[in-house]
Amino acid sequence: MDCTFFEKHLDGFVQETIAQATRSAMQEHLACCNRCRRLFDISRGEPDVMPFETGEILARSILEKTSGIPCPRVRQHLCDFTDGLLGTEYARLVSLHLDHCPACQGLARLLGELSQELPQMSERDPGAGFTAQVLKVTAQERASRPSLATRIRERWERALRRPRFPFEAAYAGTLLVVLTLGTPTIPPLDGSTRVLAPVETQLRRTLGNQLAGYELPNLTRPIRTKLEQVSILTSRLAGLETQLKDTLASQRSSAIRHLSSLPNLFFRRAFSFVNELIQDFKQAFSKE
Amino acid sequence: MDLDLLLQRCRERDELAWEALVRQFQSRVYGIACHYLGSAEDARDLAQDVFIRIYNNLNSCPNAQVFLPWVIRITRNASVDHIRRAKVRPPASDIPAEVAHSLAAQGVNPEEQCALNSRRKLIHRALQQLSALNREVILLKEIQGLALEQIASLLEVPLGTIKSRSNRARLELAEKVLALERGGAAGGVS
Repeated sequence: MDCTFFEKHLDGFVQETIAQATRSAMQEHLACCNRCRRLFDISRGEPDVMPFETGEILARSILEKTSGIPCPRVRQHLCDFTDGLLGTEYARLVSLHLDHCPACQGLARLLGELSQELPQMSERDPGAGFTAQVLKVTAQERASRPSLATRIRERWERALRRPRFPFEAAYAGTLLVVLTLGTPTIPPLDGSTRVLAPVETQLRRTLGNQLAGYELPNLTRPIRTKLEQVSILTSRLAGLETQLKDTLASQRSSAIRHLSSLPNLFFRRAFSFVNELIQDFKQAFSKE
Repeated sequence: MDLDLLLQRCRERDELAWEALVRQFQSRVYGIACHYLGSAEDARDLAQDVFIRIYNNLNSCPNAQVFLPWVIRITRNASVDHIRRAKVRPPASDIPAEVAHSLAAQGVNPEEQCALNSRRKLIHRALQQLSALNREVILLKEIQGLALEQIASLLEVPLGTIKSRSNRARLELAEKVLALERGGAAGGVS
């Protein structure tokens, strides 16, 4: 058999659709012809057609020029991969990368090892005698454990000794008083319109009465006079309104000042009261 | 014995039950203290204090399911308090030799024990190179086996932060170990 015959029947040979006799002859030829064997390998898509190193260099070069080296992305998922938490398809992709990347492969191997080794580091032997020492100390603790009343008294004494206790007690007392008795409310300031409304009504009524006596022909002069009076009155009214607002605002702020000083005053008195109380307690305890 | 029953007896001040509880958890408490303090002596004293706290507050632990996280929380808080009091950070150096020797598992032959010790020393050195939060996440999750929610609650850090830190810290630790291995190998060659 010659190479031309082999090439002609190569497709049938790969797809196994040729007669057995032809197939045997082609196999004999394949055994002795390197060129046809290479051709056969290419037709079958054998992976070892290209040397491994060449393939790696080629793949790396393509990746660098397209999507970039996928190692950082693989490392994001490496922990989930080693824990078996990745989906099958994605795990297959990561596995494929690991087959070709020794650095990521080493990291994955180490992650697997660490997940075995780290839990073993949870315990350490504290050495002989540790248990006996703990038991001795806790036994002493139990023996010297005071009664409930003594513990309450000790806790109270400790609380009294704290420098900020009077402050806390006074604050709590003031808060309690304010919450119990409530905060005095201040009446709303916005009363100026209401206050001025009767004045305006009275003015209109007076003007209406005075205008009612005039005949129509003689009306021009008195009306002008009255209009001047109205203008004067209106400007006075505006002045009065401003004055009223100012007075109310100043009264309000002084009321707020007075009210806001009340809790402060109470707090200071409560603080001094609690301080005196503590001194009394201390004296009482020291006598005991 | 069932831990719930053991705890119940300890609450009733049964001395034998308390001894069993101490023996069951002393290695773990001591291990955590060693990780935080880095000194065997300090860790031993702290572990003893932790057991006294546990003894005095047994009624605060509701059941056996949360006992281990509770113990870890007490140990961690006591360690942090100790570090604050001493006003020093945990040493970045290697763990002391006596601690390293005590790391050995029982029933391992001397060669294996030596390899195990050097390996654990390496991991410990790599751990010291991590950030404080990453180191704690590794200690609490990977070493002590706490759940992410428990770690978030213990460290008072959002759960999302712990989740994202967890894998990153593991990967960082693996990279550090790998670098130290390579450094060691290179040092050995040269």
